[in-house]
Amino acid sequence: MSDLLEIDNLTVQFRGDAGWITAVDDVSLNLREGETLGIVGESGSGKSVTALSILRLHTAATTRHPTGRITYAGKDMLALTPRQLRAVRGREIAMIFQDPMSSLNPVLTIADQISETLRLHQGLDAAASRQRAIELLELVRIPDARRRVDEYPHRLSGGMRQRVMIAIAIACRPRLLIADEPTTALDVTIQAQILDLLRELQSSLGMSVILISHDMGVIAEFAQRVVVMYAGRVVETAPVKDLFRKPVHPYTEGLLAAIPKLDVDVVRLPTIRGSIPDPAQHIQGCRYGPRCPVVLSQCLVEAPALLPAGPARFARCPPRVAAP
Amino acid sequence: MQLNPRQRYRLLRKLARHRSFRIGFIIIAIMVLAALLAPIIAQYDPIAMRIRFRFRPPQAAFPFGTDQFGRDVFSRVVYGARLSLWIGLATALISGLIGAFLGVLSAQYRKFDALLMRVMDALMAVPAILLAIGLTAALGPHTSSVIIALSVAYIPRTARIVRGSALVTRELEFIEAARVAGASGLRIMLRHLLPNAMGPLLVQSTFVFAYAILAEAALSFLGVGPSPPTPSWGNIISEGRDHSVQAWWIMLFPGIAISLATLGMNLLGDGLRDVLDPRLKVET
Amino acid sequence: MLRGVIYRLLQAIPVVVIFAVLVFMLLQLLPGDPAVAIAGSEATPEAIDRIRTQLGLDRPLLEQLLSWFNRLAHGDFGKSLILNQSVVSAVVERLPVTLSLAFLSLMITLPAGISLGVLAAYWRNTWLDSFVMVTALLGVSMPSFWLGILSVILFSVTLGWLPPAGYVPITQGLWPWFSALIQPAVVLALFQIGFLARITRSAMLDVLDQDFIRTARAKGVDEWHTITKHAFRNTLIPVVTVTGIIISLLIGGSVVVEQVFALPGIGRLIVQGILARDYPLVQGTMLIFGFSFVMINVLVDIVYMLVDPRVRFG
Repeated sequence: MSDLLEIDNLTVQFRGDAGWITAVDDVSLNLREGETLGIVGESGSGKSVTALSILRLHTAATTRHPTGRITYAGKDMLALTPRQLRAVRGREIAMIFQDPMSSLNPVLTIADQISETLRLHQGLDAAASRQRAIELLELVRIPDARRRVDEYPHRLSGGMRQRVMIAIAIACRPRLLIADEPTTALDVTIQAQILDLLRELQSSLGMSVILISHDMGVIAEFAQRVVVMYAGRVVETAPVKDLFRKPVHPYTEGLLAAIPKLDVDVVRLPTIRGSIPDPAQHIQGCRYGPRCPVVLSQCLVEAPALLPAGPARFARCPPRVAAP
Repeated sequence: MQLNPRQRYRLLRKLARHRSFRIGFIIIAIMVLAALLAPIIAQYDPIAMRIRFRFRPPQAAFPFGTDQFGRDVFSRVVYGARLSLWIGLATALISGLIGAFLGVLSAQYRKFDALLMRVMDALMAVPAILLAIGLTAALGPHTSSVIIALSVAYIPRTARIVRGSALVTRELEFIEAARVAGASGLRIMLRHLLPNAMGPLLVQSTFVFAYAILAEAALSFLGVGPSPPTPSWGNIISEGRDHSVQAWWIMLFPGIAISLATLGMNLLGDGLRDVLDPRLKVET
Repeated sequence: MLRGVIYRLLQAIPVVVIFAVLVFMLLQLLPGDPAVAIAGSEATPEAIDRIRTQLGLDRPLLEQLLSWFNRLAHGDFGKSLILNQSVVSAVVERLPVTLSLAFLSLMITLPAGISLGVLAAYWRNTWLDSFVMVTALLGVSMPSFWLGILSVILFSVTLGWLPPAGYVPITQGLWPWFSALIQPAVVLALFQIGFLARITRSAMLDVLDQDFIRTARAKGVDEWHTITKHAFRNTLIPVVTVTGIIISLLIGGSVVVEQVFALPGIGRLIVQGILARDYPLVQGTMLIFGFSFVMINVLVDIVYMLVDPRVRFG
């Protein structure tokens, strides 16, 4: 199984009030064909920025062109011309976003917005694309699709809008779907439905998926492999079962411990003390150090490297890797 | 916005760094200074006619030249600045105070709101300048009439802005908390609605100041403002108009003065808006 | 949406009524005896009395108010003292002039203001943005009557390209009509363009920051269509709401511009009426203005309801 997507040493900076802020710092990860990769981390960990960089969707005005390399199916994504990039967007790589309320254009009908992709990449005419749009809506299980297709987004509920986003994304059968916090803005019951839908579509269409979330539960349910990010860096990579059974990095431990469990009685939910560092601030040593419950003096001096920590596992915590 | 001293300090620092604000501030400061020091700066009596010196082009003795009555245009423009800036300030203050009062009252008491907003809409049914012309005509060609007329024209717009802000503030949860704790309507208005509306109110008032300067000039130009021989930028232009080909200076300098003053206030307003909240709406 | 339209129309009624009352009160604002103010300080006592009875000023206030409304309901907006004709006919005579001016000015303002705003927003923080914004700022800061005079000095007196004043009806030829109106129309438009450009820029910036713009790009839509199909249509919605204000500013500005260019329009009529103390004329014209504006604003609101699908289809 070859790598469909490879990110090497990606660094993304954008302009802050007083100079450049490094949102993504030397991040490397890869995705195999057909795999479901989960990227998990708190807000501000750089996971979304990493994903946006694949299709170069970040705000051009305030972001410096990313350094590093992003290779998709042999193409160097960061070096593509705008025209080449547009051919990939929506056709080979598709992306859905967190807030379905604002991700759809309020003045265009659903049909319009789905057809746009079809006409653009598949050259369908108005009638054919409308028909296909209806089929896609049925595929994502929107009831009464024939009528719904002519409505405007504000008439649909959040869950339905997200389904429409998914329909738009899969319209051209992309090889890779990037889902940036697709369920965060939705109710828990709807969350489960959307995840089910994604899983189903993935297997029937043979897509690879990158799922980004801050919710460990969602990751646990959906991903096959997990990348944990903190303060712009990858701190741990592992197959999902291994990660949950035996996390290596203290941050991953903290995240897992913070999940409320039904079968365990606690007086007080465990939290990770402190808060994520200011991205504009330069930190010497391990970025997680100030919050780490098992921090050692060497951690605050030397910036740790990402080291192998078992089969298909990496972790950015030398003390833990050395003595598991 | 209720701010603690440190936030206030940061806001002031941000303002000081904002380029538009700085430029506007300097312009207005120079003009205010010139207006206040008018008796000292103006070498000649702006009203006294000295026919011997009529139609002198700009020169050392008369920086802006003289008009058809031999009056020094520079002195007249400087005294005109007094008038215009005073009218602008008075209008902004009056419409700001009354507008804020009405706006907050409207947001708090819905029945009053229904009636008041209809009256405000009626006042806004005609363009502000038209309303001002009508009122000034009725009240007479005095400075006070102009101030009253312009204030009346802008009170509804300011009230709307304050009302809008107050309505949003009311929806915030801490108002509910205050009410449950027994705060009276008056207390809510004064302690919560009004302070939070300060930002939009300040921005709106700055722009009202700017519009008032332009409006006053237009009114005096038309002949309904403060009457000659009192120098107002508008009537200097209208008096100099007939001689605009041979004595272009009479008309040029007051126009530049009006533009500068309005520009300065607009820059101040832009700066304030950018710093306080770039999304603020302004009613004209 | 029909319900919305009806509601909006109903809302306009109390406004119109209150406005009519306010205009009525205008006469009462005059310091001293209104009849004296109208007749003039040199008038004989008989003349003053004549005016008093002619305008019904000797009757109780409430009776005056009721007869005022009664007359309005019958389309009688009063009779001008100076012109010796009904206010309505005086206004109708001058309507083509003001309408031509406003129309031409609007045709210049809308495309110019919107395009400048869109350009400034798309090229945000570049020299183009700064240039457009500075120009817009100057536009809203310079008095239109002054610009008018300067323009006449340049284009009419010095260059001789355009007539300095006066109105030519379109029946006498398209170019004569146009060349007489183009200067006042442009001078009038400058303030509006500046205003509209600033607002359009702000609205466009808001829209460009929205998520659905990113979605469009993620679908592979090219920049041109992202801006025109996705961003622009959404920007138009707040711009439509501002159109009512633009028209209001336009008519307000025309009052002054008509004076400068000696155009026999409604604005000039009002100013003449005020200077001549022809209060019935002033009242009547104000009323016509007020009613028209309320209608224009209702229309703008209806257009807005049509254009925004969130309002149209609830």
